[in-house]
Amino acid sequence: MTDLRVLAIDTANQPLSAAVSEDDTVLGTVTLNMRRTHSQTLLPVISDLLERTATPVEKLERVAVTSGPGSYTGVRIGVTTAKTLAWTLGLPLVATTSLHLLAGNIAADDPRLIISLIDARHENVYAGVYQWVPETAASGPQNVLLPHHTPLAELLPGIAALQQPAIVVGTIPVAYQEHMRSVLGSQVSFADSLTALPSTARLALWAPAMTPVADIHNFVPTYYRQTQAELEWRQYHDDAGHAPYVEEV
Amino acid sequence: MRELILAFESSCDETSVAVVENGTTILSNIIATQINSHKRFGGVVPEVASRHHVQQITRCTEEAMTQAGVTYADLTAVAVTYGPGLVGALLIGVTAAKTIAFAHHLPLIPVNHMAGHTYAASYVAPFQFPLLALLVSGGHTELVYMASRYDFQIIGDTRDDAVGEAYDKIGRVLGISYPAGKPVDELAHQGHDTFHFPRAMLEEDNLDFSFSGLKSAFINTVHHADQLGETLSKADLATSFQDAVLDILVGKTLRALKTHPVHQLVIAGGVAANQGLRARMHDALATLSDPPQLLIPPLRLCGDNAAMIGAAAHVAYAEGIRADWTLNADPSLSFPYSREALAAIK
Repeated sequence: MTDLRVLAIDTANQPLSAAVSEDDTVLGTVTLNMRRTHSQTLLPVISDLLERTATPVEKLERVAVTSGPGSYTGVRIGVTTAKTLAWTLGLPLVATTSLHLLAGNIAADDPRLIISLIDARHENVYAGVYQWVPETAASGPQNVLLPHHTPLAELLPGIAALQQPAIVVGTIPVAYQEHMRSVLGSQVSFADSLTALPSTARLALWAPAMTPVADIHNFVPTYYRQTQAELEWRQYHDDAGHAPYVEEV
Repeated sequence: MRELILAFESSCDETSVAVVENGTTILSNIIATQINSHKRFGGVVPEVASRHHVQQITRCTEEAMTQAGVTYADLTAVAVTYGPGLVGALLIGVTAAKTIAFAHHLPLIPVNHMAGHTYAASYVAPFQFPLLALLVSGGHTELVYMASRYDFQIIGDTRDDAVGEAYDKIGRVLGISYPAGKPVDELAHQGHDTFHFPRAMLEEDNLDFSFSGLKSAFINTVHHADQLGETLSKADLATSFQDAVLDILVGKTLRALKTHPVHQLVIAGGVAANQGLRARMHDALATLSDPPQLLIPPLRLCGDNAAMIGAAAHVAYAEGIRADWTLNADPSLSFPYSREALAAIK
């Protein structure tokens, strides 16, 4: 296909990023790193970006988004915007994790393991491990360790066991970095804070090679954690046989 | 000219999307309720509600469009509840509505959820002003005076619990799971007012409500009996509670009608489904020499739904009310208070 115009968005964490691409060219991208509600900012940014890249919304052919992990509300703003836009315009929707997107900021010729981290507070992180593989580089680095939510301390033995040099990317507290250095020593180095800003320009370029979401209606964020209420309920109850949680009336 | 509004509502635990024609005809009103989910926890868990909304929002929109038999090209505008409500829940409707309006170059109309509840009654008969609305739900208990079609002033409000909230709390004591409004209402028709619970603030010269004293008296009565090993009649408890609630709601409404003569009285919100309230207000109005016309939405339009948002949006659209792409959820959005109501609070 030619002239494939993609809109890519990410609002999973504090930064907000949006990009428009045509085939293998990024036409424009905006990345903000402000403590502002994504709800107020995302659509104005998209509207402006489409206008400045001379992309009428009707000309879009694909929408790409990060499905988490991150701030629950932030992820939902991006996912709801992306799924609604794709569904209402009849476009394919592609998605990846915010950890995968961060890993993509490490250069494709870097052979090291890429440890993507997002702070989940109280010494917990969302973590995923990636590595570039030349054959599949068009859709980003390959996943080595699936994204998950974990105490930082429990993540590190697994990294050490991989016995490969690694680079850490993500916005994490200094204390986490010190902890990692003390356990992993010279195995790890840390990318700078600019590298920790998500780049939807990259996501837009990966989008043509990504497999579209099969059912847009049922596309939801990946939260990696149940709510406290559900966790407690499931200690004594079973979902099986329960009346449908949501039903039309 | 045919005006079609695509309306969204997601302020609490219902995802709803409707298509409304000229503010008067409901072409579709899809309502996906999460009650079965929140029943597990004894009340609405905001994060769970937000998660359900994301999964429902485009499916409900598709069904609303299909059932109405309309295309985007037919639409005049998109409307959405932007408050009050749960912020995470509101944001899903707001985000989806904004996106659809943006994608199809349609104007966006922000609607106050309580304006929606009020306008649910406009499906019964066209509004005539001035109008008084008693808005009763799980989150609100308000007397709202409307001098004209989009002028809402709170002249009476609850000082503590909302009436629907009080039902859920005493329901728990009776062993009735959330939401307790309907079962308590049914039980209340089987007993007698034997406990004579307090009617708070009924004699006071203002239009405000209070239900926490009634709720405490109820709970203390049941706990006291438990300690003595006595079993009280649940039906009598329910009747005594509901009689007190209705005395307060009807009493304050009649007081408001004296100081604010109106052509119509609207009762709306989830608690407007209460059969006892409907009957008592009807009887109370019959004792007046020149009663206003009583408008109560059909049961399906009492709970949260997008058709009511579409009806309010029709009027808001005519008033020129529009939002831009920065529209955000406002969880504590409220109508302004009248000068008298503000004085009463101080």
